[in-house]
Amino acid sequence: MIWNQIVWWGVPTLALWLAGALTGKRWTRLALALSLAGWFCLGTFTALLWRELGRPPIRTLGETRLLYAFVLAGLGIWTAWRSGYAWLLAASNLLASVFLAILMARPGMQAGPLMPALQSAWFVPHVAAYIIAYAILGVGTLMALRQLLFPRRGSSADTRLLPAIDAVVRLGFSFLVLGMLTGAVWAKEAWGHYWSWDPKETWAFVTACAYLVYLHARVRHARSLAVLWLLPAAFALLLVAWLGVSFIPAAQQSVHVYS
Amino acid sequence: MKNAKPKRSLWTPPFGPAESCAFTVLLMLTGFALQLATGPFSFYLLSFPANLIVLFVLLAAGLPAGFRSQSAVCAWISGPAFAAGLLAGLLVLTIAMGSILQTPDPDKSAALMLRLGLNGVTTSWPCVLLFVCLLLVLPAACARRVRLQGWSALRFCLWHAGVFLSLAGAALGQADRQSYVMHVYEGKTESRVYAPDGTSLELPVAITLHDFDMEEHAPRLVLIDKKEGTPLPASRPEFVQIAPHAPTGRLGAWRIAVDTFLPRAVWAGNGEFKPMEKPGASPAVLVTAVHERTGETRRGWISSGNMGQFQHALELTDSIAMAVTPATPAQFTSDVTVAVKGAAPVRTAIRVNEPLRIGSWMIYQYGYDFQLGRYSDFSSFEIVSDPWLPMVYAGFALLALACLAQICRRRRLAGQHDSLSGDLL
Repeated sequence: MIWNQIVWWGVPTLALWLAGALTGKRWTRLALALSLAGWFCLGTFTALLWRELGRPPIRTLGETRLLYAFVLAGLGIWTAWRSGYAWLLAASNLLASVFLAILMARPGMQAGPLMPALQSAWFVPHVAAYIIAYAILGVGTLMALRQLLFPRRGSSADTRLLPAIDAVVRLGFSFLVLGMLTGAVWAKEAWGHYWSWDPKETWAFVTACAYLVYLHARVRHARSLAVLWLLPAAFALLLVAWLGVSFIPAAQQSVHVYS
Repeated sequence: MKNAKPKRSLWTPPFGPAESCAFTVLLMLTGFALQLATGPFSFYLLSFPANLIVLFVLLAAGLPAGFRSQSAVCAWISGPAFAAGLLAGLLVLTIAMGSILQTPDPDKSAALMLRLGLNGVTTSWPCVLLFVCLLLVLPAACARRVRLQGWSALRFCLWHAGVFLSLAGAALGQADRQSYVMHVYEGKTESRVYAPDGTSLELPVAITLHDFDMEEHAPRLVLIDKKEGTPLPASRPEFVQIAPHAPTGRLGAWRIAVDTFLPRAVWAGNGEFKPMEKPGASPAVLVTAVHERTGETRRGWISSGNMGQFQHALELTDSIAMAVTPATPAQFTSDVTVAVKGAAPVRTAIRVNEPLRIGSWMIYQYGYDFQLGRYSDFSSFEIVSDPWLPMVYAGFALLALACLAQICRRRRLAGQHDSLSGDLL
């Protein structure tokens, strides 16, 4: 069973990502190469797992954590390469490493065969859109935290960073909405209604609402750093929607609690 | 020396975020007062044609507000600050909704929190008032942007019109949505359903059930604690999926070989299971387990059992046994003929994720007799009519286009001064 080999693939990946994070400030190209090597290492494990399962690894919490670490690290590499922000590579590598470390400690791999409602063509686009959205919004949150906690000396706001944060959040929000739409259409096909206010749906609505508050607030406060605090708050709500619903007593009847 | 920003008092035009927050707080307080006075809002008040009239009123009030440039109030309510305030209010309510079990209880003596409607947020007055305001400002925002930018407002309008159509169709169409569960026995025709209040109704839809069938996933092998019956290891139970292409596996220190797997079998009484198709049959598996270190070998039949026969486990040690999980449904199918007034009868198979659309009705596979499983002699269908669905899906389509336009947009991540009042807002 390939899941039992997660440590053999995960530890080298962690080592490469951490090395990439540490070398990023002085040797950006080396950091990119190390991060990319780690990304390919985890990608190989993901591909092997996909082949063994006979379906995309997007169902259990463990599988989505794996995919999240993979997509987040990939996005971090791409964004750092495009923008020249070496710190972003370090931050996304570290965040992806946290998810990978949790995954190795608690694989969450046990899942029964697919229940009938999950056997749908909407399954893959729905979960994939959400994972991509979560990863992009994770990158957006790291950028906001960088601006809030480690601002540039002598200026109130990094004039390059703020528009980039907005671009990233808009992109992530678009994937978030696509995830919601595909989920709604799938729910209509499977359960007869596109929106039933299931706890997971409620928290998905909360997440979308939080990012909408940010996007609307930014229009009037283009230079305000206070509004940026909405991004970590929104990401915390996103984590509740993704990982926390299973632990909320009021959500125990959710049809989305599978694993 | 910098000029000090003149202090402005609340409700002095032009209105901004402070007034938006104050308005949202006042609106929610009004909603809570209404909730305490009258109880939850009944969406059935919005049955046709009331919902159509409300939709017309929302558009008739919102669109002109967006086109009027002189009024400070119109500029305010069609702007982002007002929307941010409303969204923040909705955010607070939905966080409460996600944290509190939603079981509306009309008991007047209940705790204040429950009387405020926080255990039934979607039908609470604060939520309804926020939704109404949101539905009012969305057309106003579109109209304002079109007035200011003409065709350049297309992407903005895709987002906002998409949200308006989806939310308006869902909220106003709720009262016109019909949903019933119909139970049909094999070989019988049924057209009666039971409403949620228990009264019997005759629908213009008749379903004849020819056959109900279920495909099942093969069960999984697991080690269990003989005393507790719990799967092992307790911290992270391991399973071996029984599959034709992988007849061997490993559980703990035991190597396992599946010698025979019978998807449906009954206990023959001579220490053997035999294949049989009848109610009460359950999956059974003949397994050989060899301990890796000691070489001890155990061989025997295992079955999860059901209401018709006992469970069989294979004893490995004094404290550990091997068992199988119950079979789970892979797919269930109803072979039916559906007749709707004014249309020719249709014979088809209805499955989960494969509903039948006939006339204005959608028919979904809903349930069966869980005790009998694949031998269930009846099948349940959910029969749904939602006349506002096209409007909701039109909203979805606009939103999907807006998302794709946003994703495909060329962007530079550094050094780009993206217009903050661009396409999304």
